Amino acid sequence: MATTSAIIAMSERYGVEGVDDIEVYEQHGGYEGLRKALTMEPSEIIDVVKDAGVRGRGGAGFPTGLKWSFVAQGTGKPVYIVCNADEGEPGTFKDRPLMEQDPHQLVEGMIVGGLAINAVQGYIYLRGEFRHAGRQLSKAIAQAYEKGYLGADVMGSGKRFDLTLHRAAGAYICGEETALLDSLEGKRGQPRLRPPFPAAKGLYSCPTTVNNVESIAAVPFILRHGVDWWTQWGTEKSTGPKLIGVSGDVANPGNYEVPMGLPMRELIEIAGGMADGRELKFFCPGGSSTPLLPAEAIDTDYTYEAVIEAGSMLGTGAVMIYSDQRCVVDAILGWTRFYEHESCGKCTPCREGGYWLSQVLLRIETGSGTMDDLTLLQDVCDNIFGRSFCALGDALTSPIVAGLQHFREEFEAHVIQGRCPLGVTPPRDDLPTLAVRARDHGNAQVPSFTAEPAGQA
Amino acid sequence: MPISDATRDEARHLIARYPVARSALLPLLHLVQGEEGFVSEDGIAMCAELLALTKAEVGAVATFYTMYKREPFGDYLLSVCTNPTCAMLGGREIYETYVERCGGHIDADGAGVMVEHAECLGICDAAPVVQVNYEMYGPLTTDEAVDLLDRAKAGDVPPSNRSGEVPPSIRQVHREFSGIEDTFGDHLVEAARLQATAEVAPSYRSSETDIPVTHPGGDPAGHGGAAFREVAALDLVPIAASPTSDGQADEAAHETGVDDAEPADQAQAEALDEIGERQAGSEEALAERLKGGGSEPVPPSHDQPPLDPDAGATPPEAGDDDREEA
Repeated sequence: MATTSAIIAMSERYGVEGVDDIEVYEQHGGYEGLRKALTMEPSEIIDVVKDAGVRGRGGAGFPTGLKWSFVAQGTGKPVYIVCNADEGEPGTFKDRPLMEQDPHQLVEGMIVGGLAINAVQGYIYLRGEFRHAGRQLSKAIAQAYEKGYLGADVMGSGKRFDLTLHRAAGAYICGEETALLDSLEGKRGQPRLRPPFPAAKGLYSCPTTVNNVESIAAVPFILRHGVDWWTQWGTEKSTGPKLIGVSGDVANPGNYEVPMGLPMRELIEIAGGMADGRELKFFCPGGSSTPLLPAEAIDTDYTYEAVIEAGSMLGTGAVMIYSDQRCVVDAILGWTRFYEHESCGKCTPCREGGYWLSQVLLRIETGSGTMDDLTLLQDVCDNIFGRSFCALGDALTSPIVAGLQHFREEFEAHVIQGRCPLGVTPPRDDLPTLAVRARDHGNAQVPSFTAEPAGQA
Repeated sequence: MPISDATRDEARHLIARYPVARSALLPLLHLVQGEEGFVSEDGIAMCAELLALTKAEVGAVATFYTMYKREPFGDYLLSVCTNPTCAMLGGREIYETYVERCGGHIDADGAGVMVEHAECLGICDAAPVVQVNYEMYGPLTTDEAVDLLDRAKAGDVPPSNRSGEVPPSIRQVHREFSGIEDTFGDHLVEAARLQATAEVAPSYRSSETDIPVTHPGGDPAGHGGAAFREVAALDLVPIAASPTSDGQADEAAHETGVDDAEPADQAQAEALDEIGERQAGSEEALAERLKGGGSEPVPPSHDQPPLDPDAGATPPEAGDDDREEA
């Protein structure tokens, strides 16, 4: 839990006894943002969000205020606000703790967001596996209805806003916003062709915005404390506090809140430093979809722009740390199998590519790969990237391409030594199903690639 | 087993919470699993009947999502995270031990358990993690994990060290997931009714085509089959016979994703897509690009050819199947 966060902003009520109850929540500044919002015009709320420079916390980093301003108005159709609470990006755990510990924060944000875009109804599309979060949100929504903060007459304003908690059923792809909408409509969660964009035709072909939990929950704070409070943290292009999860080979993996702009080395320090005094080998700054970076990149600032410059993305705030005892091929194989499993099957590059990439990676990890396989991996990735229907296909290639870029020697060591140099045993029931080809090592000198810092590939 | 009348009534209530009936399909499947312990053929038939879908359409959805199980397994589902962070910290060993001890993925002994490997469960600070009926346990040593398995088989699961909750049986958990126990359902029924009677009502979206909702508040006649036959088929056949995009486009199921967009909107939308996905530039720069984007059309970003407006709605002339695939 957040014990040594660098700052306390959006996590200010974490750990407050009974804050999941509406009375306690209100004693701690809860629903003040909503009261403020009710005195404002919708466009004014959007302007505040724009002035604060809030960027979407779900991965893409698109400005939230701008997204809201695109929502079509005056079409005669109902307008919807949908919260993407389908948190499933490997390594990510920031939305679930927020919903579990401070569920009213999200409920309040949904009402405020609804007011900003003139929505009549909100949906929280919650990842099905999050039972505890669902229980907390259900209770919070029920209390908000009892208090008259939801329903026919929100706080006596005469405006109607309703909120549905919709529990999903297990599909990572439903975190993609158009797949989420199809799933919410009771279909297989497969992405839609765009345009039309959800802002014009989203849920039920009505104007819709889809926002991440953290983005929505931030808005009541900004209304309550002001834009200056929010922008005291971060840089010009990356403002505010950020909820992150640090996991892997750190002493105290956990959910922390940090100001944007912190050097990423400090994120490891906040999490207690490397576990057992190990050396950092590589890390993912924002979940498995963001290209992994080698240890040298750890001094990059934690901002959208700096991380892009370093060759990755901020993603969902999932910082995964791997030490020198971890096999990079094994980790990449794990993520590739994840994408293979989670591909929705709509487009061929992703559906077939995921399968073949994990087969080839498995062959390399188990020591029966060839040097040609490295070229093959790159070639298959090149044929998926930019050619898949949605971003899942691109994400599938990220770990592999980045791995080959930064750790090619380790891939080659697997081939040359005919085994995993770090001795990682792949899952027993996961033997390669591809025909094993004869290895052609020629007279290659076998390097002594080991985990020891002294070892040379 | 046939689905009980009480469950059917609950299913109807869930349907009425949504302005478009089919939205209730995922909750309905949870409800079925809540009664049967898995998604049974009878349950699929009930969903199909109440939503006026085919059983194949319901089955297609049920098999897409991993939380719907297609065979009975008992009271407890143990999901072991085998994503890299959990795997390297011991999750892989836990999973393999479980499969070995259960002699596969289902062990009918005692309370009955199913073991599955799960993708990232979103609690990596507690790695390695096991979920028992969607309550989190972690970090676990392999011995602790084995103890958890044994206690699940004995029907005596300890409270989660994360939430403090003792997981009830899988039936009760899925019943909860259906939303039927949310106490604010009546508000949602009223909201759905109001939305369905809006000036321009929400539409059931099938492929790239909109089918107008004809029955407010979520109706059992549904929008997957019957409504299409009765409303859309009658209106559409003449339109389809002379395939021109006319003023009726908005009303009829003739609307495609492309032909209804104003050119400026489309350019804006394209720019939005491009910018959003590439994460480039400041907000001001984005706004500039969006303003400037109106003059030159941006080609679609996907490989799929743009939809031909004239081919927006394939006439259901084949007559053999007027369902949504038509």
